[in-house]
Amino acid sequence: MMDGSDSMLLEVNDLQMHYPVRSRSWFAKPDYVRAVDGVSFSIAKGETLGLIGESGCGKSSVGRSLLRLITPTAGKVRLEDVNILDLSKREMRDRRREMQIIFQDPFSSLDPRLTAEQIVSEPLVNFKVAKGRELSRRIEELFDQVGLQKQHLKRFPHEFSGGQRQRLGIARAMALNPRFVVCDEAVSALDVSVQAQIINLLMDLQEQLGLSYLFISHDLAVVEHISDRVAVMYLGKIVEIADCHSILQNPQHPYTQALVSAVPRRHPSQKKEKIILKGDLPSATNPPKGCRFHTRCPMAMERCSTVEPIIKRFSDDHAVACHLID
Amino acid sequence: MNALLPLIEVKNLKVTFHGRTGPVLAVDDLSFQVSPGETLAIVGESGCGKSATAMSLLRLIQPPIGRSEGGSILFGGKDLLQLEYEEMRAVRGREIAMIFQEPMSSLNPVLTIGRQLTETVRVHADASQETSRLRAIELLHLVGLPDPESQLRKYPYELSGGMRQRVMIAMALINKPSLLIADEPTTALDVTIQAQVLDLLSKLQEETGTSILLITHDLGVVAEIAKRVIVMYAGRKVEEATTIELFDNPQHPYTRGLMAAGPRLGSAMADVKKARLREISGTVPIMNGELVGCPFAERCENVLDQCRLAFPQDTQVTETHCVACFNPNGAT
Repeated sequence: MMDGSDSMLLEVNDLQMHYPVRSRSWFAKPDYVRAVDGVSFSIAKGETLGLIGESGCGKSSVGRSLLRLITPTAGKVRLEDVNILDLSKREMRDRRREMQIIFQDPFSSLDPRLTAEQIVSEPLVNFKVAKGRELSRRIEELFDQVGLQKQHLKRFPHEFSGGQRQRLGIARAMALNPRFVVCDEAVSALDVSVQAQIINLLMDLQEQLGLSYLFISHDLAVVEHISDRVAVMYLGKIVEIADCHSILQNPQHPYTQALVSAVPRRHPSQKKEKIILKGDLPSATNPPKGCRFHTRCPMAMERCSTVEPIIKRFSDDHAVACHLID
Repeated sequence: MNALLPLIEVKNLKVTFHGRTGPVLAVDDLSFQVSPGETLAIVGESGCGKSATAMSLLRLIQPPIGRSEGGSILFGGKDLLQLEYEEMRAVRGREIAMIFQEPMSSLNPVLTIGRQLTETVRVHADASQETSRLRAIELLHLVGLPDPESQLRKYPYELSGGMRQRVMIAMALINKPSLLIADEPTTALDVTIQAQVLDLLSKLQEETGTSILLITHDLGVVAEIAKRVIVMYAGRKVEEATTIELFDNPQHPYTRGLMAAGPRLGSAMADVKKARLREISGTVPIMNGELVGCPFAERCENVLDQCRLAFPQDTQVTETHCVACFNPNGAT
């Protein structure tokens, strides 16, 4: 989709993640949940790519396979010139210094028996980056960067509020100076006033450290605010990818159009035509033939139920997988 | 406001929870009313007391967890807080029904949808097996579930989140309640499903004329379906207005902060680096009863000395708009 110029940090090619599910009989062919089924995109240095979609569309599986927290079934993930899926476990461990993740619920992703200081120092100690006085200096620096105070050092995760816990999770992710960070619904569990604090923090850190983000979220307004480009996923596939402005002002795929129209209005007197989709997300074990969206698509044609659309360039930085575009 | 008598009138409600280190004040001196057929939203962030309010209307907060300490809840000429247990049971589900955020934990996982629906019909009306089954089918049809008869045989896990919430709504509507309390009804749902459910709630209200008390943290949901809004912060009502007035002319610094903090869809300009969001610094105070004055004072831009001494009285902005703030306009 994008040309592989030097500024690209991460390139994902035809990524697939199929989870086996128990089949009905020993002799039956095993079934797979095709959570990610051929996803390609790239992220430039210092860029944020938003990845949006509803529950079960595979967006978290994408994030996790990029870091090899789960092993993808097929595909390529190139960080600069290295395909990280070819690396041995030990080599991968080293690479993780450059790739980090921030999770949705900071309470279940922080060890409840470690103090804040221990949580943030763990990666630094593991990779032998710092010790002794140097270690405490670095931790204080990180705390300062994410807006935590010195008096928080000795506290346990349960003594923090949700927003502070997320700051702690961010400090841990930033400890090793990563170049690429996956934010998996990083602000979804937070109240709106605190959410604004964390979004601002993530954007400030990006500017200071030149980070690239994959920002996974179901909230279109948040994704729009933080991202340069946005990819929309439906049932394991990217259906549309474009710069932020085009996705919102000029969405081409009927699913993107429905998603944009479904966001509640900002003012009660604002007129908003809603595209109300019928039904629910089909099962990813047995996705619909042809275009996966055709069962709910208000504009489905006969061809949609038989031929799967391939993703095509619509304009400069805008690609869509839909037969209507031809 | 409305020439009709209010359907429910809450006066000076106070709810406390028994925390490990002493009582925690969840709702403090809250008064409001809901008119017949209207949708009133209570909006606020986690811990502001909005759910505690909803639950105390049905007297679901009982010792030893917590209790309603004072005030009154007038509904149909009775004070719900004074009713005997059996009398209260007759109100629940029949006159006031409630739907919750997570329909999976509110439905019984080991019984079919049909069993749970028909059981509810039969508890409230002395109906035969067959009539209650027909009523269940009718209700599922009303909430827009496809093929209601086959849905009756399904278990909750076989339904998606949106379908489960529709079943919960059907169950709440069985007795044509005059008040439906919806506690974060769409928070666990995806946006496209949220749009379906909000659409359904407004349609049902038009058809049945029930009043809705909507509890939510999402100003977008408020803008979608509420006629009037109450903004709560740390157990207190800080602002009350019609939805239009609140969005056009927010008065309380907290309300303004909330509106500015949410990223605005469609604000992205081509090739312009985005501005920072306006954040509300700090966090919500712990309400252990020691705090005097306005609970928002510590986070407020317009704070005055008197804000730390007493909680401000309601000031009328218009007939339908009031705010509890000493200094809404930021004078120093």
